[in-house]
Amino acid sequence: MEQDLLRMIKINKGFPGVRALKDVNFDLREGEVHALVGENGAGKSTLMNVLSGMLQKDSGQIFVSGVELAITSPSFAIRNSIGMVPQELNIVPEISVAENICLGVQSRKVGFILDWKETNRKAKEIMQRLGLHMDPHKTACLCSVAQLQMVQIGRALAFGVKIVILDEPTSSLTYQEKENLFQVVRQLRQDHVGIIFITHHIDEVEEISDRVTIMRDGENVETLHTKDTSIREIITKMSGQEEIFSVHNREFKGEDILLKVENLCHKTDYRNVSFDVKRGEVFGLAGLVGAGRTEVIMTIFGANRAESGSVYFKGSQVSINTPKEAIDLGIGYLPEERRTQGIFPELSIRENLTMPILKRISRYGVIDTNEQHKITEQYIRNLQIKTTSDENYIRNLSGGNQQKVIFARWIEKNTELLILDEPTRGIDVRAKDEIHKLIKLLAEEGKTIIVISSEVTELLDVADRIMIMHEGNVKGIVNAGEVSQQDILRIALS
Amino acid sequence: MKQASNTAKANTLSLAKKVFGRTEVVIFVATIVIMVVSSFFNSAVFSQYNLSTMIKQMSFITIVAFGQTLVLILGDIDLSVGSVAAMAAIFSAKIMTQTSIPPYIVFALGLLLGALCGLFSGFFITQFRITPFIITLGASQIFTGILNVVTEGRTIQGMPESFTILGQGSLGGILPYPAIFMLVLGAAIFFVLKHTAFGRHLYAIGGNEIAAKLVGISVKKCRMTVFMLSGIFAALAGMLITARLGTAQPTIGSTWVMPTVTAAVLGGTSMTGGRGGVVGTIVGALLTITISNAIVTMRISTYWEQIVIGMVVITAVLIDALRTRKSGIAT
Repeated sequence: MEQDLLRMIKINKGFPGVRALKDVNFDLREGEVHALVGENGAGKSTLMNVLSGMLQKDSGQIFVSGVELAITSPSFAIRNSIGMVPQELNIVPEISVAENICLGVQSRKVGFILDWKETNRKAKEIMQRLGLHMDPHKTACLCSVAQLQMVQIGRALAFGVKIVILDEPTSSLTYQEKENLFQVVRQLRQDHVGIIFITHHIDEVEEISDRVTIMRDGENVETLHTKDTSIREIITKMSGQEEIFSVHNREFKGEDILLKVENLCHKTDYRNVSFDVKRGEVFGLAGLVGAGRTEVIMTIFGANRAESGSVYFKGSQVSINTPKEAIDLGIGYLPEERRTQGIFPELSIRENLTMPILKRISRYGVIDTNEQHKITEQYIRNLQIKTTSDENYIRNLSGGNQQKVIFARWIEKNTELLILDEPTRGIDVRAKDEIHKLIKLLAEEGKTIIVISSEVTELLDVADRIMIMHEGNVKGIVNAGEVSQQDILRIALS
Repeated sequence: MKQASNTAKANTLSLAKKVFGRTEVVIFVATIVIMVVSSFFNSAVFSQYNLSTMIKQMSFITIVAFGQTLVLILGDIDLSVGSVAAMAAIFSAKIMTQTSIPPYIVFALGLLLGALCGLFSGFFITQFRITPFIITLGASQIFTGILNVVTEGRTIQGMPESFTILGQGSLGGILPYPAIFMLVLGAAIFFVLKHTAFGRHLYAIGGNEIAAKLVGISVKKCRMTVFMLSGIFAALAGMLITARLGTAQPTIGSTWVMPTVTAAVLGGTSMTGGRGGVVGTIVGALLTITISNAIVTMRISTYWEQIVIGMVVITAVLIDALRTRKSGIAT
């Protein structure tokens, strides 16, 4: 029976300098997968944060199964059957996977004594359901990002919720893991659970959802039945303009080697990694999650130590022990996780953007704030960062806009070699295209770029050559123009 | 015409919100309120004598609090400030009374000793990544122990006048030298924190240490420098109060640690790092002194002082936490 599981009526929410939600209506039926799409700053995460109790709406009403609720906190939401699986991981690293899954609902034997046996059993059952094959006793911080994402989903399931919100669940998943997830979603749908699915991957919308709601600038543009629309139409409605897809057509012919890595070995994360990157090239690092690409890059950037092997930069061997040394040599790095590794939450956009160049814009030790404003405003315009002022706190920006600020930070720092680790994670289709154009533009201007991405299509679009890694080993280095997505997957798993 | 006046009204309102939204202003207003209230009980509150006594009293702790503020911005804490102050006090006093080395050189040596004590803690914290709480606690015990061995609990007397003038004299008869030290130092730290790369790096480290490292900031160097500065400031305060009292006791600074943290936190410095500043610390110290002063002038038993200060700190931290929560948890 199709009944309105959830009704959100005229929801409004504002932050200092930004009206994030304007009279938004949204509904969800039992046994429905409802996709929620939109560009950065469109309001998708904000709407879901209101529904899950992380934020308080300014006005509007929320009805769950016909009953009006004032959702005052996340625990209230969970107790009223609304389970949120956030975009950024909320895992307690020091405890076990089972405990993470059952956090808040651990059954007790007597009084306040926890029933560990039941906890582990329950966790194992949920993990089976999710196709997550691992030891429930394993400490969370030792698990991969993909595994932890499954644990997050498991936690929502442990509460037995009727509404599950998945906020960009597939961004760190491999193809296989994504299929597992979709299986679980379909199962939940059969169990009459309502699923709200926020994603930037419009192809996923087509694959898994029944209806799709498109948001733009804090408003609900339209809600459509997925089978009545197309990917192209959805994207057009998201941006309000026709989409232009860029195509890779560069023939890179450089020969000068900028970075050379020889037989780099790490104690646990990778073995015998050798490759070289030519000046002016865009070098992609492909691989499934956990392949060891970020770890190799961290060694080059001085954030971890290799056991053996050598690194050559601009012809001479270098020994890089701290990120500062790497940056001084001319290597920049855009981190994989912006919340924990990229942004300074207490500081403004301006300060976040200019942090690495403070010495450069200081005269006699005093920072030139006018210069800071000028530089920041330039990027706000050119990268279309959605904000009313460069003085706003960076934490008030949407995830994608935060990413743009961190990207801008490194463009401004102007290092010879720039390493981008998952640069378009959590960024909408149009902005993703803009960033790809930007990467190509930077390469045209002579900058050398290494791009790590779990999205092979992205690498095929922007990179000249692609190195494929799997479980710490280099599986192959290919020319981007000569391979297909399946080829790369095949090489990785060979 | 009406539109213009409405916009003007809206502008004033938002300006007022901005001004009163700042912790420093709220605390300052609270200070004035307490002074006004206590002046009803005792009209001497606003007398020059009382005001100058308050300024003199607060100077010493505020100087140390500046150092503590820097440490707190990093997200650390320095529990050794009291004992470092005593170290500088005792050793400078000993040298001055037992040798003929001119006081200004001894003063410099005292500051150097403070720097070394700070570097001692800083070394263990940065090289071995042990929490500052434990290291500075341990250092504090070591320093106090050294002092007890050296002085055997006895007071050192007979400081030369060229030294005591620093603590007892004043500029033009009105502004006491310790207050001048406080204001000059405060201005310098304010400037560094707001307008120099080093200052902004401290906020970066306190706000997100990993991101700071990945952006090329020398976290170790900054941390060492900050603990060194904390030691220097503590040493300065220790010597100044010795100069004021004319004697050096090994118990100097033993009650200084908590008030320095209190002053900073009251003024808006976060204990988790990334937020805080000089103005807030001065205002926080002002409030603390005003409360102590009010208790005396209203002839309340001094035993109440601790209770009141404790309640004030909890209230301040609550307000701060509520403010952080309200500013939203957007992605």
